[in-house]
Amino acid sequence: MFVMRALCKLSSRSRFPWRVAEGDRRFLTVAACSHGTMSGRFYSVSTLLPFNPEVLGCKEIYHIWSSHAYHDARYQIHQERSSIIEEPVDPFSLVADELSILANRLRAMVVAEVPKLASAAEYFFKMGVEGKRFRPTVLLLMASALKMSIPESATDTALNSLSKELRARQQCIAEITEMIHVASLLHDDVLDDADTRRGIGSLNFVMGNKLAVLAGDFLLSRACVALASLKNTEVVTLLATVVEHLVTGETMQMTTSSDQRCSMDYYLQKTYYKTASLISNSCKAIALLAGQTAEVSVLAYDYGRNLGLAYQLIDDVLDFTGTCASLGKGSLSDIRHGIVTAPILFAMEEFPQLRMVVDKGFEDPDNVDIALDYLGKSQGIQRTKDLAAEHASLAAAAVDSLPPTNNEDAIISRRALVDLTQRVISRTK
Amino acid sequence: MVVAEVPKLASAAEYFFKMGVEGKRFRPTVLLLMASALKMSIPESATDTALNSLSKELRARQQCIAEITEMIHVASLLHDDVLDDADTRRGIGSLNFVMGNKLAVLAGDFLLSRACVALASLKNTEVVTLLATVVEHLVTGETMQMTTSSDQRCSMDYYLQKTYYKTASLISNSCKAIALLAGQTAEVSVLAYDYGRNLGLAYQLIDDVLDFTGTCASLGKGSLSDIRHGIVTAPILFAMEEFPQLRMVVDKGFEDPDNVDIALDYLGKSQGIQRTKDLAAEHASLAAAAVDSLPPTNNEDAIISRRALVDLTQRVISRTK
Repeated sequence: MFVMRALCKLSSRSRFPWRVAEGDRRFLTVAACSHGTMSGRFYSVSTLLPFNPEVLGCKEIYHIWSSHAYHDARYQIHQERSSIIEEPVDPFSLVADELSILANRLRAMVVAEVPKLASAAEYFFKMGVEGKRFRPTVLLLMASALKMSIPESATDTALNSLSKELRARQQCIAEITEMIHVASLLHDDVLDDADTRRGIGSLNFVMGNKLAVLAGDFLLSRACVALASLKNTEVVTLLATVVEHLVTGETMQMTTSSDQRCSMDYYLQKTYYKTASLISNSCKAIALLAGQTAEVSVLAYDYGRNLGLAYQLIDDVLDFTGTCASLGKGSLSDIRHGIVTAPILFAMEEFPQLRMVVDKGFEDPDNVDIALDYLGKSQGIQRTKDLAAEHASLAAAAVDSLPPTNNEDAIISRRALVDLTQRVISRTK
Repeated sequence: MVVAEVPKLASAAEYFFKMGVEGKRFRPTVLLLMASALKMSIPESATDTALNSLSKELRARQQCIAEITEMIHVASLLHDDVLDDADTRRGIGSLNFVMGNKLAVLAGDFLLSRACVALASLKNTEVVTLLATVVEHLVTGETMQMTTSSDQRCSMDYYLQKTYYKTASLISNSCKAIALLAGQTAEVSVLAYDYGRNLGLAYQLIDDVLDFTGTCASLGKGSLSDIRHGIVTAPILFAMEEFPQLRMVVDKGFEDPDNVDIALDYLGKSQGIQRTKDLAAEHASLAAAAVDSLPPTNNEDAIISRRALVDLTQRVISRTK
């Protein structure tokens, strides 16, 4: 079955746990939990995986294939327990069980007295279900990756309960991270909607906006309470700083001068604030809770930071190139909102005249086309992909630099973290 | 504490300071007085340096609570008021306007995050939990106000609960935090909480009255902004008890100015204003009683501050503006 990997169009890297069949069918192996995985980003199938709540806690393997002979993506669910043993680790399967526990706890944490607030919190869970559960996955894997001692035997109850308590605290970080993330989405996205639906100000619409802002505040306050319960000042400071970074990054994006818009340094700084800070500082928090040294905490931070940057750079590329299945045309939403991303910035280095096009703004669709034309002629897309690959390598290197361990969970999780760095840069969606 | 890297965010923070200067500095005043009121030991002499530095450190931490409280308060104002403006300027959606809204939301978030960092620096979990709960209460109170059913709107209990969340929770829980930082007992912390809670409720009830009656200097006509926004406050709720038909007027809503006049007419005939003032006076008394129940002290600052706190309860209910 590993021979068939060569036929996979996605990648031939050996770290990929993909399995492929011959011909024009691709078998893609994922482990699914009832709350969705990153799978939506890796496949060209547009249908959602069916989630069977009854298999919560079981490790099912779903096979999905898409065929060029069909216009619609088809899928079939197939259970193959025996293949788990031979199968290299899939990052998401490792933490699937935990993620479902987290989701339930989160749900309990955001129950609100007021029904409308509860509805807004539901939105949060719909987001969580439809979203990729990417951050919690990384954080739980990082928590496992930092296990240093040999696994405790069943009789060593004191050690066992300590490690369970640590795990619970690290899970709490994952929950807090999700709450902060969704709070920032609620605040950003709804106000962007206000931007695009300018002038349509029905009371429901405004109340929807206000409720979204309030719901975001609510989530932030719950995150603060959860943070406080960890009784670790450094962790609280770290994650409070993340909120500040999110705000700063969003503001940087809104208020750029012409020079700043065309500066790669400014763009990378903004990207760090907006995307990478949350995951890097949460990784660091995970390490701190585990009582790791400063060096190890920095490695955890570096992993998160480089992973986050790689993720965003590929995001930028995909906004232009779209998915494999489509005709190569991305949503172009960044450029249409006047947001200048890495591919354009690289292209500007080759074609200085592109700068004038950018300065004109992109409200005029013709200007968008001109910019795309330059982009196509340039190495912008490729250089962005290369930069993403660099960051992915740095992330993998950070994991490889962690102190050696003989803990089996740690070994598997580290492999999974490295695998994630590859998935992030090779995804097509 | 609120200097930001990004200039636009810094401007929003300036707004915060303008607010602080123009505002009444009411909350920080109460909190600093409460901090002094809880001084138990005799004043340290100038040579007792160890005790002195400890008490200075405590004072700094309590001041931090006052700062955090202001940040949370202004963050909630930024979030609430700007979106209310969006409500009233419906349809005027220039990019500057929208960016103003978004920037206000972001600035509010920024203040909240700074408040969290400051809270963390106090290294006191209970205090962090208290003040984080306040943010939750502010949100809940605002949501309660926005999403009332007809029955809820006409319920005094619902109104008082909402008022607690929106107005009194911040001051009561910060007072409690002040006491906790000072290492006070649970009983004393509860007394501090009670003071804040009753003071806050008294303050809001008089606010409700003034919205109808306005200032002495004016011709007795208040801004009527509550009722015009469809917010039903204590005077109207009391009036409804005397005149059940007022309920139907309220249910119609107050977009029609004629309906406002009808409601005001009922209000004038009723004891609504007076009963609200009486209720405010009750809460003011409860607040004063809480201060008087504090453990005795011979610390001069404490004695003066307690007197000031009681004096505040009177000012709150006798103000005309």
